[in-house]
Amino acid sequence: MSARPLPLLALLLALAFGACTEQRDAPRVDEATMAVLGTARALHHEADVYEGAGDFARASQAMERVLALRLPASFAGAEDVRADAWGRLAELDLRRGDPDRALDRVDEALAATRLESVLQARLYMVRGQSLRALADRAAGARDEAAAARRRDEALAALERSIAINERILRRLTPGSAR
Amino acid sequence: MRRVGLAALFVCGCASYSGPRSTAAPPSASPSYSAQSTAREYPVSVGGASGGAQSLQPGLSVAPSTPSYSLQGGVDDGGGDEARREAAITRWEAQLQRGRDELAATATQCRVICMAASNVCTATREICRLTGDLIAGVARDPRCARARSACVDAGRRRDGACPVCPER
Repeated sequence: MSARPLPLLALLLALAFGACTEQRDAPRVDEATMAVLGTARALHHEADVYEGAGDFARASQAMERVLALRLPASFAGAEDVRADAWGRLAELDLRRGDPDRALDRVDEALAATRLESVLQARLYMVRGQSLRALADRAAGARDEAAAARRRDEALAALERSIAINERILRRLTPGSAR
Repeated sequence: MRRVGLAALFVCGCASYSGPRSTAAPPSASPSYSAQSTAREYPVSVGGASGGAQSLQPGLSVAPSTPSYSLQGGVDDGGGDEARREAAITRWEAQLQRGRDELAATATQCRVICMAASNVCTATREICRLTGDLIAGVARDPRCARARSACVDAGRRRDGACPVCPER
């Protein structure tokens, strides 16, 4: 199974929270949307299988198919479905040793992600990881200036990821003060 | 937390997608129908027969609203008895559904909490690696120190809210 730091298998799953709480009175998800979500979930499982077998290319293809799914504009979770797929795609790029592509993907995803969420935080984390890999590469090429710049950018992205997750944790666990 | 309608649907059987309720007459019309049969249908026990609030999970409880009369008759054998039974059953069903919703919301919330906490610590490792503070001990770089503090706090919050993280 995946070596990802967290069971993000179907982040599809993880953020259902909204539907079960604040959106309890929101309109029900219609059947067509459910069908698309079911497809997305199946594609995440498919990617798990490929990723577990070390076939990152096919796992990435599965995620690209998630991004190609047409979710109704009215569906509030559409951004999360896409952010999840983008994040996973970028992680797969990193595992394939392609931090440039990973960085491109997360930047594209972040440009399209407006809402603060664990998925957005994850995108920043993957951004930081991509930049760290690029810093390592620059250091290996004895380009110290580029390495230092990439390291600073990586630190900024990682700190931003932590800050987002901290805000989310504070919101969800208000009684657990430091 | 906001939105996201998705997966509750898959995971938690959230009430937001429970499908239309049957309007067919429930077995409640039968005198033998009792709260126990409802409890079998819904594995979540809420507001038991004692009428006391019953904790579902830490910090999650459902207020009692057990009807004060028996579903098996006894208070009123007149013409309104059946209607009252129906009303009682409807209330109980709504209460059970609320319990299911809360459990589902809690489980899904825990996924988010566990994910956020885990990601904080993953980012912390990355930061400390970048600052050269990978080895445990007092961090030389303030960014690593801050991140470690955030990781510890995130772990505390996670443990407090979700002692066991949901599996995938």
